[in-house]
Amino acid sequence: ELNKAAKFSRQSSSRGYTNGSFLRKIPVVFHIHEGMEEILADYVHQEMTRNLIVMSLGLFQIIVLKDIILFLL
Amino acid sequence: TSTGAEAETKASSGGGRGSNLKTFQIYRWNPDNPGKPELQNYQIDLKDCGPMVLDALIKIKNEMDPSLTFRRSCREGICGSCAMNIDGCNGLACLTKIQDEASETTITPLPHMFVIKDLVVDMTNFYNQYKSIEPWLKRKTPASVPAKEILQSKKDRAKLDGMYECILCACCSTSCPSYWWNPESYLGPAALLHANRWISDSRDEYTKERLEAIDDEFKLYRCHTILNCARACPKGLNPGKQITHIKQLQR
Repeated sequence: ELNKAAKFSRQSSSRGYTNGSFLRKIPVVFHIHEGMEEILADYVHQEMTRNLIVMSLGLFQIIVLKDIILFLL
Repeated sequence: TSTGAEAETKASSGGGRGSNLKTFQIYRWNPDNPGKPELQNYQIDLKDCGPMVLDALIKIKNEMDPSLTFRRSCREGICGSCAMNIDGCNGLACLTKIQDEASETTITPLPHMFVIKDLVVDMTNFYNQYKSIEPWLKRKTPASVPAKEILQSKKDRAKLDGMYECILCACCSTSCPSYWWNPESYLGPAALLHANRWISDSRDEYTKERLEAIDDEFKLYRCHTILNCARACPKGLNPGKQITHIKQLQR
C-alpha cells in the first residue's frame, strides 16, 4: 500500500508536476480561507455582508482549485 | 479660545531668567461649543511645577485656564482616573514624568473613545463590558463556616498575581487595535483579564460557565496577541498573557 502511494505521488502530469508536490499545497487554500475569515471578522461589521464575502471567497477558491487541477493534468 | 490665548501669552511672559519653559499641546473640545477639536498650546515653567504630567495639568487648570477638563483623583496610580494619551502612548498622567528633553508634549484623550469634554472620555461601554463578565465571587455551595471568609491556599492566591492589580484605567483596551475595530463586540484586554481573574480563582465555582460565556468568536477571539495592552499598562500587567491562558482553557 505504501509503495502504491509512493508511486502515485511520483506520477507526473503532462506538464511535469508530480502529484506529491501539488497535493501537499492543498491545505494552503484552507489556511488562506481561515486567515481571510479572521480579517473579515475584524473589519466587516455587518454580519450579512461578512457572510456573503466569505461565501464568495469560498466559491472563488473552488474555481481556483479547479483551474489549477485542470492546468496540471 | 481667547481665554487660552491670554493664558498662553501670560505664561510666556512669565518666564524669567533661568526658567525652563515647556509647551504642552492639549486636546480641547467643548460640547457646548461644538466645532472642530483643536490642540491648544500652554507654556509652563518646569522649575515651578511638579515632575509629573498631572502636576502640569493641575498647574494649567489652576493658574492659566480653568476651563481645561480632565479626570484625576488619587495622584498615585491607584484610581486610574487620569488615563490619557501622552506623546502618543496611553498612560496615567500621575505616573508619567514630564520629558525635559523634548520641547513639546502632546496630551490627547484615550484613543477611539467618545470624548465628553477635553480629556474626559465616555467609559460607559468599557464599564458595561466589565460588568458583562460578572466580576464577583459566585458559589454553588455555601461557605463551610457561615458568615466567615472562604479561605484559599497561598499557592491558589498566587495564581491571582498579575491580575488583581488591574485598576480599570482602560489604557490597555484603548491601545488595542482589535478593540478599535470592534469596540462593542470584543470585550477588550481589561475585561478579559478580569474574566481570567475570576476563572483562576479557586473559591469561584462557576469556572465552566464563565468559560462558556466568553467562548465567542467576537468576545474573546478578536485578540490577535498584538500585545499593545502589555506595553500600555501603567501597572506593568500583561493582559495578553491572561487572554492566552483563557484560550488554552477553552481547548
